[in-house]
Amino acid sequence: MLRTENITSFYGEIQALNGLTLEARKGEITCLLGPNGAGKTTTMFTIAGILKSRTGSIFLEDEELTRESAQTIVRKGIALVPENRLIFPQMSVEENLNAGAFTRSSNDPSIENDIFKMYQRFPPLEGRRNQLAGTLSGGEQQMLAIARALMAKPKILLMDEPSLGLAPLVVKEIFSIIRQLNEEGVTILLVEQNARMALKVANMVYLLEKGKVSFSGSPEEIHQDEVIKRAYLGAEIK
Amino acid sequence: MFTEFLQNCIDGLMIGSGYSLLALGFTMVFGVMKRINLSYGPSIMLGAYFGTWLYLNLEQNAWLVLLGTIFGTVVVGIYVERLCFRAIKSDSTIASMVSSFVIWMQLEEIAMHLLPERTYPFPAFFAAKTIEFGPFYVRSEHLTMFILMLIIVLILHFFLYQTRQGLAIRALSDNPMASLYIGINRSKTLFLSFFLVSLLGGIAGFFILSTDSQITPFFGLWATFKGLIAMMLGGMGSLPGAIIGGLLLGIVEANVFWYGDPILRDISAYLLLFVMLVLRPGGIFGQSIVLRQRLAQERV
Repeated sequence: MLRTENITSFYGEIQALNGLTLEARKGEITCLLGPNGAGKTTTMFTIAGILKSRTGSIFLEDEELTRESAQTIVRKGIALVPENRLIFPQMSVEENLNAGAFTRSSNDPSIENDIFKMYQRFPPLEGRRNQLAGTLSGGEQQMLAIARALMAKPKILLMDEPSLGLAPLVVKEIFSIIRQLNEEGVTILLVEQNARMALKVANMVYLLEKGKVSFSGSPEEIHQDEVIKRAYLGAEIK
Repeated sequence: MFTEFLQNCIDGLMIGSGYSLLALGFTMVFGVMKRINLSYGPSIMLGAYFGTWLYLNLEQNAWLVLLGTIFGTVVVGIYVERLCFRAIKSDSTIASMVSSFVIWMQLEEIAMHLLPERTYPFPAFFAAKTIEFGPFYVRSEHLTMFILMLIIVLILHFFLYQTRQGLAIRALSDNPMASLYIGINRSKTLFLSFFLVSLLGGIAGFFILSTDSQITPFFGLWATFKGLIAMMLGGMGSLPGAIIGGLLLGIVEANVFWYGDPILRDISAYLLLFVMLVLRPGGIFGQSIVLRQRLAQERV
């Protein structure tokens, strides 16, 4: 569904991605793992069009998106759930959801229906629909960020560290949401530090190191590889 | 005595509605971009000069002047946006302020050369009349301006809270990075808000100048100062703050003018701002915005 071929991204003169190639297959959860500074978030930004790759190309269902603007890319069906949630703190929950549907036609009658569906999927949000989003708890904000991204009706959902800064129980909840979304057919590209949780849900894993893919395979293959287990994931992975 | 005071307050509300309109423009730009557009007043002044120029050279028609003023202000507004806001990186807010100051000087020079006699008559829709309400008096142009301010506020509120473009403006003002992720075009939205603010400025400029029935190059300085003070009184970035701040400024000035000395009128504005900054640095509505923002940001 989504492919990047040999992409290279820079922050000014600092190179963050160095010829990265990966693929997220339709209906699967693809997970990027790796140490800090490996280029995980940069990969997300480059796919979302916020950073531009100097080389290579990005395809969504055989349509090239490499040079498109961030707005066009949302429109084409890639929605990002950013690191640290980044909701609109001074807007109500409902307005946040409405804003998520920004790229859809404004008189699309199904928007209202979709908001209703989000409330069904994330019940804590419904009770707080008129509350300012900044006053929600961390877990609720994460739910809102996911719901907001889904409001754009994406073909693929990019999730950047959805477990960051959340209590263990809430992390569990967020991951069960991820799994559930996937079961309903949503394709997901996930960046995680929490390798343990990520490996439980992923169909395909890419290990990133210094802006490159150093390993790719299924979670089972990772479990079989002693060196990788030790080097990247810690010995506690069973 | 009390009637006198009330009459002053009515006068203040009327004049203050002009300040409110100016403050709305400043506060919208500040709310969306976190920047101050110092050349807002002068761009209205130049727009109004263009309106006067049409009046003197084409046809003596107040509608023409109104449209000319709005058109001129919008054109100058776009010029300012391109030069001082679009061209400057999003994190260098001070650079925008400094360059908008430079453009201010430039606009004043242009105005002086365009119309060398400097002071020109400025028409109104209808001849000034005094309307009586029991013991109170209101000037018809003032009342028009006041009602117009209320209508504009309603329209603005509808636009910001009920339309998609309004949603984009609010989203961009709330969290610029997140607005990128949901597919909002930043530069298009900034342009739209600048356009809107210039439109508002043109309308405000026409009605304020109509009540003065003349225009001088000093109008730019005057409008920037009054608008900035009214915005700061109400709270920067707050729409209700801009309205209340403008009206408060008008009331205080009118009373000082009556009980004190006409010369004290402008000083009272600065004094009022000084007292506000000491007692409530965020302004009337700004304090809660500051607190709410801090709370929200800590949680995000």
